[in-house]
Amino acid sequence: MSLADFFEKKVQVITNDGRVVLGLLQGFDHTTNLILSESVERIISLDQDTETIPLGVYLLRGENVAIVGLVNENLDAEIDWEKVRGEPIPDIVH
Amino acid sequence: MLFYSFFKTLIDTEVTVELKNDMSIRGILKSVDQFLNVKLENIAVVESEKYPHMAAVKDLFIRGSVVRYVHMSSAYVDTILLADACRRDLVNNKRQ
Repeated sequence: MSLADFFEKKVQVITNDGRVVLGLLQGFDHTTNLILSESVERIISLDQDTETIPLGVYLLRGENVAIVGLVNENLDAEIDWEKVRGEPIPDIVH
Repeated sequence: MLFYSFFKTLIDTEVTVELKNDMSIRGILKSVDQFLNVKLENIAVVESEKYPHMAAVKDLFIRGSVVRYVHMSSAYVDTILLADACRRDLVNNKRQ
């Protein structure tokens, strides 16, 4: 699975309910279940500064995974996430 | 298998994936699998001012189940070949 390319790297997951979870990809399977270590949830809103919530080790069920993005460390360092404002990501509707 | 084969012919071309959360992501198709999960490289989120969340991401994996549309340039698609392949598939399925 192309997720192997992201193994043991920092990834950003967008879930079906529009949450943003970042962490190190430690495991995955053919249903896209994911294991992330050192994970945090990033809450980006229109009217407040970005909140970052530490989560530790997370298992995400594949059913609820929409996107797994590879975090580019160079680009990430150039962004002050605290100041970023954005709209909430809509829910996945089947 | 038909659409899996079809997407394989589009590898290394630019596609835009519209997801079921109304987000659209444009990028180079690098990988596809039997579930029609796709991997895109060098992505751009279409309404990036609305969704700055992916600003640090260049390569990503999209789960097949959340895709609404995949659109691409018609230059890369031989619709006649595609229709032929589909027709052959139907004949084979009818035989079985």
